[in-house]
Amino acid sequence: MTPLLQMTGVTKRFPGVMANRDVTFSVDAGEIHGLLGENGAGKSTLMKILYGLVEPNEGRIEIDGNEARIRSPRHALELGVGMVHQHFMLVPTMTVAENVALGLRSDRPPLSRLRVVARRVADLSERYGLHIDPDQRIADLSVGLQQRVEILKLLYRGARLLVLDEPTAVLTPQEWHELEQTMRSLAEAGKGIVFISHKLDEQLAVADRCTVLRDGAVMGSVATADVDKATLARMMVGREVVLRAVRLPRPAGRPVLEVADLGLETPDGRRLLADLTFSIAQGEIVGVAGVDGNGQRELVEVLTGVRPATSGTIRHDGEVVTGLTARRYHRIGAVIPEDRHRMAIALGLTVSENLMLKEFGKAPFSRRGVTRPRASRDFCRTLVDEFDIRTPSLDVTLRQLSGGNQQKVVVAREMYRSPDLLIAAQPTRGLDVGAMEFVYRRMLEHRERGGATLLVSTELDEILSLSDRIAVLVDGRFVALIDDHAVDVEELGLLMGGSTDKGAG
Amino acid sequence: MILMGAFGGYWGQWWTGDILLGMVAGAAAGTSLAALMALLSVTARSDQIVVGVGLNLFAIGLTTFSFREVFGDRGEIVLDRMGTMSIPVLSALPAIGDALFSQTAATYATWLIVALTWFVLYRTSWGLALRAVGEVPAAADTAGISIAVRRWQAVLVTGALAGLAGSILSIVQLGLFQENMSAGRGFLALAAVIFGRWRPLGVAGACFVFGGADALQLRLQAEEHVPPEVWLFFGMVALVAAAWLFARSGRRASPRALGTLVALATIGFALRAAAPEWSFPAQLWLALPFVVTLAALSGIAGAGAAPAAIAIPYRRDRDV
Repeated sequence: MTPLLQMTGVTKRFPGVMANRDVTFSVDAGEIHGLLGENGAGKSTLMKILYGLVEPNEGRIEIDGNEARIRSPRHALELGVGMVHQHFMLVPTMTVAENVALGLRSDRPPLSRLRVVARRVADLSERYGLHIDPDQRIADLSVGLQQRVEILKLLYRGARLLVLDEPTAVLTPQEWHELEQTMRSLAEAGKGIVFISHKLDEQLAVADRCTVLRDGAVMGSVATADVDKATLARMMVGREVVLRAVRLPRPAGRPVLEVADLGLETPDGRRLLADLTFSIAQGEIVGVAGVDGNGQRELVEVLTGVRPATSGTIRHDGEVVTGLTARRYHRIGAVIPEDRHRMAIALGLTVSENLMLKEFGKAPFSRRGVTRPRASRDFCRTLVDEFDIRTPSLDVTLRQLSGGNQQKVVVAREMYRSPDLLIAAQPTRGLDVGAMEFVYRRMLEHRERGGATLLVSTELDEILSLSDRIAVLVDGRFVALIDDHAVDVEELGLLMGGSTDKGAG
Repeated sequence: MILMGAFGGYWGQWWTGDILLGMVAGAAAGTSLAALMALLSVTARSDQIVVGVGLNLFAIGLTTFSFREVFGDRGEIVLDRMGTMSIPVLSALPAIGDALFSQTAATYATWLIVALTWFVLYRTSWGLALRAVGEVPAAADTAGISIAVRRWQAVLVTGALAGLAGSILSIVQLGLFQENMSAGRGFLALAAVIFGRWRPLGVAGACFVFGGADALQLRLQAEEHVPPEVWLFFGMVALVAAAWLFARSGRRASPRALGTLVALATIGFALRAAAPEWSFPAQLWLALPFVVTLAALSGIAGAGAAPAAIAIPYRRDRDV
């Protein structure tokens, strides 16, 4: 059988980098083909070539056995190749039908004939079980539904090969299962699907075959039925990867952070946090589990001085620091915020500037208010080496680094001084396994040194493997505070859903 | 652009002797300034506020200079204005007939333009694409629409319409040109767009409010004393605002805001009853349309539905 798509020997060189080397990749009709690789492994470049945004230096692309030179996204679509971008290309103020009709010739130009479009959209939605109402405004749809609108747009334009670029990064677990269904029903209808994701579990769950890229080259193409997580991870990173952090037992020391009856209310009386009491000792990691939006963000903000608590006390080393400012917090502890783009780094500034954000005003980096670039550069170079930040130079902006390397910049800046307290919120969100492993290792080293850590995460595996004690946050309250050995994923999941069978311990 | 249109129209009619050709010239003058605007803001991606202010000053200078060059030693020439056209039956309607149906052809044309704008924006593929380009250009770009082409087209059409507006001001209404005669009407139009929530029909409604205020100030300037009806109107407006506030936020309405409005209403009604023979300087009345604009904007703003990508140049490398 001729594959729907056959890419042979595709090579793309950028100045200084080989983005793709001799890549051979094929997708059959009715197949879900996973594309796996670390950030920067060449997945995006390969797909941009397929979508006509980048022209390859060498190689051959065949669609249905016919050689194709794809010139533009529009041309790709004419050939039946459609792409769902990671950031949706939808106009939020318009309806589903308007978004679908955008850029298409209607059956009777120049009129847009939205009624006709809406009817066809409804038909397609029903055929593939997408449950989309063509007259709803995009802004009123959940992220999962918006993603389906993107898929609908492609189906409407007659796409036979759909490329889903990191589609799960923005989805809740429930939405992921729905997407899984959607992908299956599309494959059953004979569509080919390229599923890009660096999450191993997802690849194993949905893909029929999986092609692994590393440093621009194909490491192998395997049937997912024949491999396990560890094999895929090894192919992807090129060495054994420790997927579960190994934590040595160690006695806890004196308490570093003590929180009593902490509460936070909005001015109009909504309770965001209530009655939080806990302490973190030296050499201890306390994990806070919970479904997103149950007060995690607020807890981190209050503890790091971004917003003041409305009740309760916070002590650091026995000293009351309630109502501390963010500046003051940074003198006693480190923080890895959950949204690194908004709260941790400045994308438009360079690597060295970002590394210096906490230090630039102090000696030896500045004297009498004038910065001293040479001292800063030496310091930054040490950090880049020590924390293995992969960057072409200290002077590129952070925007040009991968998510993993951006996070390493944050970790380097916060951790190099060996603080005794670390507050880490979703520290591995959006990172590939290599960078994830790095962050885990740093957190465990911090623990070995006797540092205290508060780890806020929605990833239960992460919480379970790293934490000495686990608190479950529901509606701004702790429903449980438990020793990690006394609980497994299922129980934790139940507690997060609000069940309180397991008492506080 | 309005000013350019006003001058272009005046010159065009003076040159050709025909009012329609004058209006065409006005539209052309507006379009040419729009082309400059598009070149700077769409193609060169400059900051639109800077470009806008610059072009504004440029237009004042250029029209003033050209007017003196062409007409400087001829004195004031008053050209023929466009006559009014009464629509037979409708203009005989009591109260509103004369006001609505006994106007110049240009006035009727504006009605058509409003309807046409709505149709183009909401019923054609071109309008759909144009709206998308203003909201999320990256989405339109991936759908195969040229952002630059659509934005150029939009700016040029706007320029033609603004030029037309200017020529109506100079040759349809007055028959003469004065330096800087548009006197900030473009900013009023901008306010009308915001007040009308960026929808053609809303904008037409907003223009009614502002136009009404403008007409009112012309009348009131002529009055020797402030007519008592003004106080009544003032009181009613305050009362309606209070009622609206109460209906919207119920018991949680701020007592101070409510109190202020009720007090204002009371003052209004008291003045109506007392009918003092006060007279205000004409300048105060002149400011009326602008006061109405400010009040309207402060009340309505926030409920806006401005295109998300307004005034933001598009770069494919950054936005895709």
